[in-house]
Amino acid sequence: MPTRALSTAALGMSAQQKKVDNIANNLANVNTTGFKRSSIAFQDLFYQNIEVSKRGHSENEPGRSVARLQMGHGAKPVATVRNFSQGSLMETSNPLNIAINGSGFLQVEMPDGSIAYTRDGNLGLDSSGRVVTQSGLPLADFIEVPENVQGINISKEGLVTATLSGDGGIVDLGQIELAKFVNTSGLSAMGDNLYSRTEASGLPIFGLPASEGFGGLEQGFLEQSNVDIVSEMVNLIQAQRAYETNSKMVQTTEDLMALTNSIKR
Amino acid sequence: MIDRLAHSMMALQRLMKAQEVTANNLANMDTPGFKADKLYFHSVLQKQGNRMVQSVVPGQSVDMTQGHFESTGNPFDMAIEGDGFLKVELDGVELLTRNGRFRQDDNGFLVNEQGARLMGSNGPISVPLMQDTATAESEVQLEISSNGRILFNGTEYDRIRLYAAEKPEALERHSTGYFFAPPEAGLAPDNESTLMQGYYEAGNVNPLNEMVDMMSNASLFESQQRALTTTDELLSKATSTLGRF
Repeated sequence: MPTRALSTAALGMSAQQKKVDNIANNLANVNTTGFKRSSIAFQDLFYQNIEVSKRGHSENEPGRSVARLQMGHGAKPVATVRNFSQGSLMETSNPLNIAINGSGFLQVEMPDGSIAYTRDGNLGLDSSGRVVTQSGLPLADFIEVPENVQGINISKEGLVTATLSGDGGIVDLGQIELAKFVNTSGLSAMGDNLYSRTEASGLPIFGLPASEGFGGLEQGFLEQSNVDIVSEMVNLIQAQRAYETNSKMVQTTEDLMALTNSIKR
Repeated sequence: MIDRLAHSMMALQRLMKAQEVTANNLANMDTPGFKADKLYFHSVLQKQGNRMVQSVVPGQSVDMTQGHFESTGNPFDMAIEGDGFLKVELDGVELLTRNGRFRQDDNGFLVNEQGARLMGSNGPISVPLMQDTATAESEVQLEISSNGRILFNGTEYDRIRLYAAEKPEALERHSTGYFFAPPEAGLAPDNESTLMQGYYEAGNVNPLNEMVDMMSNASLFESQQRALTTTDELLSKATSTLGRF
């Protein structure tokens, strides 16, 4: 059936289209703090067994062998795989900007009380003095900054201290704890630079920054997106060419069908 | 003459099959671990009564050449260097695959996208859940050695077994990237292939070859179609001219 070659090629085209969509999203987020690039994983579809009998055998001949063909049905995207490699660090000199140099996520509390994870350390203070992300979600470590503060210091190990104005000295404001995952690429992206845990990612492992396996905190820095424009452009060209070859297949198969129709004039 | 029509028709059908196989290869250009299909034709000479009859039979082979390795940095990803296959269990059926992208499920089993469990020395491989064994002092490390040993913080838990078929051409494709080994394939443990942790194997489709195949299928199809219409014209001429006498 010629329609199978058509639908197979169409599935190939739609798979490549998904790849282009994904590259577009990576490129759109090239300047998003803490953004992690993703790629799409494909899989082949089921195979149909077609028995092809050998023409020309006679009934009394033993072992009338039947050859078997296995026809595939194209490809489909199955998963988005996120690459959590470290982005470069950019200095901002803002005391409430922190970058994680190494693995680990900051934990933020969602309005419904659940915990989300982020690499975006662009923090600020809300009206009550709590340390929050740019979208207003408080850190799960619950750090509150009193009003009469002159300077905030966040150590590599995540200890937050403040110098009080006047002769108040230095007070301890809290400790930032990081979370990491067995299978980081299994995290699900929620938008807003936030990730939630899934069955694939496993449960979080908690630890202090700069302890073994966790990255240290760098105050006054932000982690840039890890999108590499050059490799994205190369991927884009590859996807476009693959799309083209599949569309050529549609065209050629259509030609074959036209030829078939012109057998009887 | 009538025989010729039938021959042309079969040739057209075979070329269409070849086109479908090429379409599937092209659609799977980006599928990890995908192996391209090749359709070939061999002619068979058979005795039919007193006559020798020649016929063309389509056959299929899977191109098992190695795809290139892509780095992922994910400790659960593994690429096979060599002819070996990983054995997985899906719904009680043991299947072979070259797609080495796994994760750990909530019960500690190593599973792939479809939830098929990776098989080790004694059944599905289960390693302790990392969050249970993690402490603040020690980094949790999963290490898969090149010969398949699974080391967890330095302790060996299981071993991934690789299998190779004596007759790889007997392997059957079994939906979504798996292969099924019938008894005649002669499946045996493979000690020569090695594993590379943190990589996966990309598909081995060569788009250039596939484009050439596609074009040659199309032009062969066209010539067969011409032959068929010409035969048809000859037949119609013969019947109309002969009918006048």
